[in-house]
Amino acid sequence: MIGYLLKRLVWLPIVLWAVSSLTFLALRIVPGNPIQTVRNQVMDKSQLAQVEAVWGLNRPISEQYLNFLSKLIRGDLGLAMSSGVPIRRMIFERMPPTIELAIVSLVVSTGIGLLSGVASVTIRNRALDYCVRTASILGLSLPLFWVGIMLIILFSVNLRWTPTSGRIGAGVDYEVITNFMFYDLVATGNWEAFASFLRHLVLPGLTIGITSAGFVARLTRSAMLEVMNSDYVRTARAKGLLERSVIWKHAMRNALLPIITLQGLQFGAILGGAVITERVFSYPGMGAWLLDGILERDYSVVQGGIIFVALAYVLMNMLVDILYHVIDPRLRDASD
Amino acid sequence: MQAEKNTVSRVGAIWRRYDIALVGGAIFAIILLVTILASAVAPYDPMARNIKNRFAKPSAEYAFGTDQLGRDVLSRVIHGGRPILGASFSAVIAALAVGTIIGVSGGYRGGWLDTAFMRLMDVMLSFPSILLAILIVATLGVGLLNVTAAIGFAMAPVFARLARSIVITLVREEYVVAARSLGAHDRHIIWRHILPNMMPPIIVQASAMLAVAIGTASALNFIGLGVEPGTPDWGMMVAEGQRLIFDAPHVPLFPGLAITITVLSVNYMGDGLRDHLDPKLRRQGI
Amino acid sequence: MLKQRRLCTMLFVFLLLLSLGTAAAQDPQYGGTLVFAAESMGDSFDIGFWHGFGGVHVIDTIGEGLVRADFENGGALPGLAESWEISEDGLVYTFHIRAGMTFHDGEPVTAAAIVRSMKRPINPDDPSYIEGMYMYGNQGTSNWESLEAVDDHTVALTLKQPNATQLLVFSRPDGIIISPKALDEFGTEVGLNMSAAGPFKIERFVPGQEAVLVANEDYWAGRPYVDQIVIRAFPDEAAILAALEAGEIDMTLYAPFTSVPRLQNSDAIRVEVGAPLVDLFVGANVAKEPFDNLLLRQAVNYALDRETLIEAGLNGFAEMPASLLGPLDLGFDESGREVSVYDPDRARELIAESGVEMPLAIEVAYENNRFWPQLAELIGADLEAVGFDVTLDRLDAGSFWGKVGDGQTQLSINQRSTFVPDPHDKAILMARAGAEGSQTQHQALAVADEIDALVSAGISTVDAMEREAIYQEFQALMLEHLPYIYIGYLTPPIFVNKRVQNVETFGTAGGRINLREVWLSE
Repeated sequence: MIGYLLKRLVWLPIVLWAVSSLTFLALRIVPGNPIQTVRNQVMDKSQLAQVEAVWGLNRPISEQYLNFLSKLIRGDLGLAMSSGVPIRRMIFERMPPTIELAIVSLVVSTGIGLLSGVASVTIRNRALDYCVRTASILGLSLPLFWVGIMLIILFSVNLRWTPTSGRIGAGVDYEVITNFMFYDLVATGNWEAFASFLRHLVLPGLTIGITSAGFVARLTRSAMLEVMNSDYVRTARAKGLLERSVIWKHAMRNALLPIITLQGLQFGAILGGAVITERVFSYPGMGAWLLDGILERDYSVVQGGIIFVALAYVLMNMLVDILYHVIDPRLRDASD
Repeated sequence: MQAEKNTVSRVGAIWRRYDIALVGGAIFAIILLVTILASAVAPYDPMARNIKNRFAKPSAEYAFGTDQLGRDVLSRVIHGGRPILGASFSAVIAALAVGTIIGVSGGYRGGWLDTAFMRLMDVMLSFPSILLAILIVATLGVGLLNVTAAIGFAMAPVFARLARSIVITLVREEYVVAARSLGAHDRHIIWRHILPNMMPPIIVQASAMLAVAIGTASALNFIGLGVEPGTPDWGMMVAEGQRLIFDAPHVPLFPGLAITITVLSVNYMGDGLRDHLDPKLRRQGI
Repeated sequence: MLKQRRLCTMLFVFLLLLSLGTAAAQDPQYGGTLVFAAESMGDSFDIGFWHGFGGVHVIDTIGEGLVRADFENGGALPGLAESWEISEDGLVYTFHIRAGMTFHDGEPVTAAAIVRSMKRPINPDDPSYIEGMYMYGNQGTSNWESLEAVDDHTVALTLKQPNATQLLVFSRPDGIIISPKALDEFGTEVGLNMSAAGPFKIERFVPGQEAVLVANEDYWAGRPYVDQIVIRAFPDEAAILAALEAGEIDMTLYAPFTSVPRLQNSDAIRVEVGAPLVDLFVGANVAKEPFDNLLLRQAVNYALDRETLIEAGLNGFAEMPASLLGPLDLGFDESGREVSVYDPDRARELIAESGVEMPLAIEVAYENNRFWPQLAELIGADLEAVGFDVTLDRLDAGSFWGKVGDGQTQLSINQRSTFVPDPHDKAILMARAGAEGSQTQHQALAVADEIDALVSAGISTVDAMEREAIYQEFQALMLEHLPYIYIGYLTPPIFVNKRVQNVETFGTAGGRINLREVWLSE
């Protein structure tokens, strides 16, 4: 187990190198560059020539690449080309909100998904089964921006339960320590701000949660159906074990494997990929930031941001692997 | 007489077992038919503008109303299935094929090939798929083929990971271990034991991924990087119509419904297919 | 159509009278929080960089330069300088700094502090200096001979050559003065901790989400009416509408135009109409086939049914165009109205005269946001009506400017707003700056040198009458050779909650909101 993890840790820098190189290359292939997107704001072009020189954009790509790599190795992500803000500072601003959103979404989707999946298998009621299945597919099929705006119309415009957008209410006072509000606001005992923060998380969390709960429900349903019909569960039943204990002990444990894989992937996907949700809810996270970076061709933003997303993703996957081993003892010996 | 009764009861049995799958199949067949025969079915030219009659509410003349350029929404919905469905289906099938090959060959053999494949998938997956798709379309330009490529490329690793995770479990199943110890050929084991057993979850995943593909296609349109402008396309219509949700809700609503109904019917079909293909379920006649 | 426009104007006048009426009936009140929805929120407010319009709105609300711009009547108003003199030859500017002002962090606003802030882009030894602060390129620093504090209240600027816009560029967002203490304390991260001398100061900034601004009690012109202003990003148009419905927003420029008819009838929202400051146009690439051919450019000009474009593409929120300059600009040439007209038969004649076989395949590039797609589809239809075979090239912002900059487009649809009320702003950005990448590649025109000479003369001439003549000649030349084909002057709807009073509609129309004198009733 430990040897296996070490092996994966060795891979980590290689994966990061590959991801950052791919990003570097992709950005140079996409038409347009950071100078061209701001050119129309500046009357005296000599300043733009200076920017070009500072960023080495007038150099051959190979030289730019080596320069980028050598800085990266030293941990220097540089400044955002368009705004002049250090990338590390932006990661501090943008990463925590997205991680919080990812956590809430996963809690929502796992909760709804598992419950409805289990219910549709165990409660032998065709109508309920169909309802759950229909609802879960609906969640999957609706475009995120559509779900988001519908939730806003229902909960914010009509019922006025939740705010439409942002991370925390305008004019709410709070202290930033780690920029993880789950920690900061609790640590400072700022319950008023904490309530506002939670209210702002509800709709974006629901949006991603609902749309991915469908996955969990379907996976749960099919994994459980399969397990319930497998030989050992039938043996367990034949032995006269109670239905509930069969479900929880055997079926659930096996259903959990694909669900953990899925949710691990999903967590990674949300970190950089909650683009649409963050846009609709004006949520200041990584996805919205990276999208702007791509649209403005801010090379250093996209390069720096993607590396962090990739890092978080790979670490998350290792965590999933560890969980795998904990849950399924059969794998424990195999991969060591 | 007896034979007739038999047939009836058999049809009844099939219906009981596959009812919702059959309904899904029927609806999907209708959608496909309408999509293919779009030009014959649609009451108006989906591109015909009528500036004087913008945002007309649904009426007898325009069943689904008209949009921001006075085009008939019904005709656009009828024509709008082809691009998004074509792109999504092709993307999922391509991703499924490539992903399954990678996952099975890696997962079954294990060793360095498996590691290399999985790290490659890690690289691809750690690049947020929607951003990857946006970069691809921004590079290649808007258009159906580019959208298909972008979605397919971003989805392949999902299938690869899933296929691999099933394979490494299946390889340890008694019957596979037994077949191996009896000296059966790898190809034989993969075709006879691995693939049939992994198909059900893969098919379920594929029908779910179709929903995701349609969602991604719509999302690309939402970012402004989707099909060619003016093309009637459900994703594009929902994306462009979203801002009209308060002022002319019929413009985004009908294409949105079309997406939903299509995805639902495909998924019910997928479930039926899964039940049908699953040897264990068939054995028990559930 | 015309009737509707007249109705629109009448409604506007009526609303104006109504607001004047209520304003007269009610005295301005102090207090309250105003929430402004922007399309984006930058990651910093460092004025050396461009942070989107959300960033500009914040900088405009917290900052103050030597002067302020008068968008309604043109010219400069007192800012940190209460008065100034310009020498006869237009080379020496003497600014008299108002006494007793302080920055938000309490530092006194002295001549030395102003000079320090203004020299930031040209002083690499300044701790806040960042290589490549391109936005300062608008301040004209390369033309400065010397800039110094004569005494505590006098700043003297000597130019190498006369610059007719030098005074006004000090009113730009990149012209605001930053506290020397903040420059020292925060160095290169001063943009995250801005301390200026404007009417509001930053209380909290959440990059990418919002800036919370509070009234500056010590503002030289008196404390602004509103206690607090929240400028918040709403990148999604439907989300802006939802927030308007939910009553979370008091003011925005970024709601979709299509919602105006409904919102005009709502109890809570009022729609004001901005001044015609923004040019909408089709840029033709004159360095590339087929629009290197003047006859085809003229054909495009006559093919555009501008009334329909404005009505259906912009929901009526534009005025009919004349030329590159707008009706409020110095030297505006009314005669352009006879060139920028719809005459499809004339367009077909010109095409026939050019000898080009129709249908000719052409591409029309535009950005994939806001009203551009809708407008582009209509423009495409107009061009097809006279025989072109049009491909619409919908691009994200980065690709659009990349293609335009590399001279790869044929026709490109875009807009030009003006950040200062001076014709030079549009003239240089549309017709000279970056000749290597101007939207029309106009350096390929036979008259390129003439155009460049006029643009240069426009800035180096100080006398207003002479400048007027120069800009009229410039516009005539641009209309004759048509690198740009004009669609209209945007008169953007400004969505405000009915409690918001005294909204400024001039600067706002060009993206430079002014919340200094806004107040909230109730």
